[in-house]
Amino acid sequence: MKTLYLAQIGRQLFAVDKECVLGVGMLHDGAVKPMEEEGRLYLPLPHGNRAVICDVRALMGRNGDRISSGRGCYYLIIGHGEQVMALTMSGKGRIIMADVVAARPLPPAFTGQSRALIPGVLVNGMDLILLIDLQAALAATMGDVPEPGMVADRARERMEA
Amino acid sequence: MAHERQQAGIRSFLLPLSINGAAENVACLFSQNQVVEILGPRPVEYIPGSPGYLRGVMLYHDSLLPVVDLEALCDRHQPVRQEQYRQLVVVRTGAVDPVTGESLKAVVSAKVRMQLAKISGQELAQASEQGKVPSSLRESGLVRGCFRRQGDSVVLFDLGPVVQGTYAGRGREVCR
Repeated sequence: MKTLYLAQIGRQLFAVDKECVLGVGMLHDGAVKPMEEEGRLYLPLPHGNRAVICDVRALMGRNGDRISSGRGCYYLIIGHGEQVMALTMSGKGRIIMADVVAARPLPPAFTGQSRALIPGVLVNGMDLILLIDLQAALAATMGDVPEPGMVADRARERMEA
Repeated sequence: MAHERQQAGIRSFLLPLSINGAAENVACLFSQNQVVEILGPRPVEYIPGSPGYLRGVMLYHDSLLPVVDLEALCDRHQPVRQEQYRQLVVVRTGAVDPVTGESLKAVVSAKVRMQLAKISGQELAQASEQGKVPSSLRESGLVRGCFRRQGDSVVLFDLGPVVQGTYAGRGREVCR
């Protein structure tokens, strides 16, 4: 069993490893606003730090109903290596315990970036919880497309772990 | 007996498609054996980074199945459209998972209701790619056959490469 942070994005459920979560933020009136640099949005953090904003809805091509990065928006602040990422959420999210070994891979139809981003799916009754690979999400946000071989290597590492 | 059945026609399903560049109406043919179940609208989970012709995944009897949009598949160079669907059709593709050896099913999203049709054996025998297949369909490389029926083009698709994941690398792709 593993502790995961469950984030609702749109009407879908996504989960990330709780150990990577640094905190949850919400933008209020008067709070610092996201800033744009080289086509990417960053969320200013205390002590001069910043987190690149990752909008999973935009990665799904659902820009029309992407979560606003304005007032009332929730962010899940995630640390991955030396990078800090802010994942936009539709609500505060919550912590869950889940057997990640039982996660199923996506059907073979999904290859490349989608397989790298979502290495597994947890089935909870009628709900599906998509596990997010933070490295792939960060790469997709920064505009780096993972090499197919890299995806296979990472999948193999996960299986071995 | 079998001959009589063939004369009467083979019970099939037709899915009308809206294809850019097609002069006449186009419908996709599924045999009765191919169709496992026709479902009403239900939650489909979008998968980030997936090509536009894959609408997402759906849980079906404890299995995760890919949901395929045939119109987007035939029109891969167009921007991804997120139109509502009316039915979800679970179909057998005839392909097997190269890793597990399991037979692969897919879910086809239908904007309009599937239509029942009786196709004669003669019509099926005439199905060939030499027919007037709309260019966008021909470019997809997934057309197994095509024949004319009551002024419409009826197309048989091979969804095997799509469900096996070997189709994704073909041509330029508009990703989500």
